[in-house]
Amino acid sequence: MSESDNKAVVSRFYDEVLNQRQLDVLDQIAVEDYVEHDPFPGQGNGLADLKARVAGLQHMFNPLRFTVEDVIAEGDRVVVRWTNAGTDSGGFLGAPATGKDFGIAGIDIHTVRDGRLAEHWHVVDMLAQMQQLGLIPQPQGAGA
Amino acid sequence: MPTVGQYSLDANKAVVRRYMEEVLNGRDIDALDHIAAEDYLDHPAFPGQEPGRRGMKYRISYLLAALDPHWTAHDLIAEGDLVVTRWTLAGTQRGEFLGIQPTGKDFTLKVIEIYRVKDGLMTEHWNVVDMFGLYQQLGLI
Repeated sequence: MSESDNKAVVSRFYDEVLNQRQLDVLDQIAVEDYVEHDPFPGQGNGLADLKARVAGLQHMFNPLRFTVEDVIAEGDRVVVRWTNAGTDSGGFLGAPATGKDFGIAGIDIHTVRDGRLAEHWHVVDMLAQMQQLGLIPQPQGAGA
Repeated sequence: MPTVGQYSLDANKAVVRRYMEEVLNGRDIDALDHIAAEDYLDHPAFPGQEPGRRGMKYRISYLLAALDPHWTAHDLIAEGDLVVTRWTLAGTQRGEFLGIQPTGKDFTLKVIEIYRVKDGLMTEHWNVVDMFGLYQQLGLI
């Protein structure tokens, strides 16, 4: 698979799975033995846990819209710098729902094997998200 | 046989690797004069950070004084003029950092950075930092 093929698969994850909420597309674009390096609480490896992660995200935040800002691919890796905008409709990781809006940034690194998502790392600005939802106080003069 | 394209990706990665080894871990901030453009554009600028390479030097001095970090690169990924680094900073919070008073605590911070490299010089930067993980390790939440 070429780097542009890998980018196309990754773009389906943001468009179809995350933004259009078609969870079952994951059956076509992710491997069964998917490896997650930055798991949600309780998430293990494997496709079923990936689906549970995305379902959990979509339960917590509706609407939730990802905008891909940059895509960088080399070999089997595809990097996506994104921003999102959403509403805390279901409660953040077990907290009561606040109904508040948020918008944060993140960078994902995906490994693509034979046309399917196989492995994932990320860094997401969860601190900013929790501050925007009022779950932790805004520090004075802060901002990374 | 590497293509011309691969040669330039490797050269761009070498600039970012040199930045990590000489400037960040080697504490040689003036080495930036050889590997960063004077009009370097930092998208996640710290409060009070001036534009350009001058501001970049301030940012690094501030980071070194506040966190005494050592960088370890786990992955480098390049396409065109962009280089992505997935790395961790292991350090001790010795000084004030973005409003956090010194805690003296050790931490390991996850960061993914994206640099633009043109003609051997770093010209632009984006990143996302696991500030939540840092807050947890410093005992703030």
